[in-house]
Amino acid sequence: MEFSPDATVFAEVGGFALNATILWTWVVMAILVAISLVVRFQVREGFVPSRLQAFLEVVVEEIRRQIREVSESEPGRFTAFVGTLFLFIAVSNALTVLPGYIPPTASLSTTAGLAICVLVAVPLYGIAERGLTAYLRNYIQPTPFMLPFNVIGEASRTLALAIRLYGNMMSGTVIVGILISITPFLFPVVMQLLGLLTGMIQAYIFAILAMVYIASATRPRLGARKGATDAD
Amino acid sequence: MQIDWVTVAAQIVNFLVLAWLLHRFLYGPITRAMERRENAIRTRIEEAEETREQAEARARELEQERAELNARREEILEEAREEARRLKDRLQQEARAEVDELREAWRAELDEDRNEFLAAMRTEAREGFRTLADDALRALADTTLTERMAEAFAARVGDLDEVDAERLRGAVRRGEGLVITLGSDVSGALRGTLTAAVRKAVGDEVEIDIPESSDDFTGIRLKAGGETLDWTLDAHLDRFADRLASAFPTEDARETQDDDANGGRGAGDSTLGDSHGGTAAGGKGQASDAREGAAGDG
Repeated sequence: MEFSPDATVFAEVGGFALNATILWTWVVMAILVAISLVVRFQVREGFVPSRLQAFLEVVVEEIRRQIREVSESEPGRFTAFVGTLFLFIAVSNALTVLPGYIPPTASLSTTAGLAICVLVAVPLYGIAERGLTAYLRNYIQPTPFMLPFNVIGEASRTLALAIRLYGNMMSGTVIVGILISITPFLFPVVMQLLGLLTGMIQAYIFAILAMVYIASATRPRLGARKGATDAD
Repeated sequence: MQIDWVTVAAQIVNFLVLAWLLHRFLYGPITRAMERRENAIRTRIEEAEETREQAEARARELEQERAELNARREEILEEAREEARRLKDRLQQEARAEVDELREAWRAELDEDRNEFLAAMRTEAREGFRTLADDALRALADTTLTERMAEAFAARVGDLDEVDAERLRGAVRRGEGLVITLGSDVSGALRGTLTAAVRKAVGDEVEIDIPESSDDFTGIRLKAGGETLDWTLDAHLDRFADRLASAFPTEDARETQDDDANGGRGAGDSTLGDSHGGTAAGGKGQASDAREGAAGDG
């Protein structure tokens, strides 16, 4: 029983295998970009936006509000990264209602890729916000003896991000597959509805955790803040 | 559970491309649209606030103007009332003066009519009496009033007291001629009788002129310079005219009577009784009345 979409290869061009993960990722990307283009060219400057524009404004504003609450600062440059994480995962998970669709997030390659993006983005935002020295000083807080544990923590939380999302989505797919073989109609529908809820929650968790990691990198740790305060 | 690192790399690239596309076509436009809308709403709110402040300021100005107008209105109304009061007083005074003037003119006209009426009544009474007496004497005694008056005149001239006779003689001595005027035409014989009677009382050398008769009176009038002796009905006619005048008083006298009547009615009744008494005593004799009149003229 193979549940990873990576194994489903549609074509192979020059040694590059076009598997289901990449294909459905492109479909999700196409949907998101198409909707964005529609809104982009139909943006109303008046006081009454279109329904689609209003819906997207609600979504974007809610993303910005969540970022603002977590980072305690203006969303600004975080919006594109965190918002895209949420929208990509949410749409990927929501499309599971389509027959034959396999969410890219059920692939460990996808979740690992997203987690690597977070792993890279955290130090980039931290360095951009605080400078290289101040950021690296985080790893020796509150004492230099904590350096290995901080590094391990950094790697483990990235691994946790990837495994959490992959596990939830893959398990949902596996459970649906098993239930289909037992009860063809009733349980799959219920599980699909539960899978939608789980998918939205996972998208929210992934994006929020990424923002938390970024926010923690852009602000000094508690011990460093206390020391700075004492020095003042 | 396996990881395809090529797929991982592809997914990383896909994610970065998607992030860039969404940043360009979704977050940017949506955020800018919302910011523009917020700015527009904020501008409208500020404009509304400014408009509201202007409206409140204007309302305060209008309220102040209204208060000033109210104060000014009271002042204007008070001035108008005072002007109306002055105009009313002036019009009342003018109307009262006009009414007084009309009333005075009416009274003057009434008095004039009354005087004309009394004069006409006096003339009618004199002419009526003379005609009646003349006709009665002619029918009953075969004589005329003029003849009887001339005979009576002659007799009374002869009986003049010394004072009156001396006054006439004094006038003659001063060169003033005697004039005998009669109220009606007389014959030549009567003229001679009158001339003889006067010359007997005054003196033979006196010049006596008897002009044409006059319709102004009834009787005989003897004048010598400034001295006059009357044997006429004038005194009786005057009393008759006085009685008529009492019966038709002037407006002023009527108002006085009304005032007296309001104060006490007894005085008016006694005046009326005296008038009747005077009328009864009037027929005692002409000669004494004539002498009183002559003495008064002298």
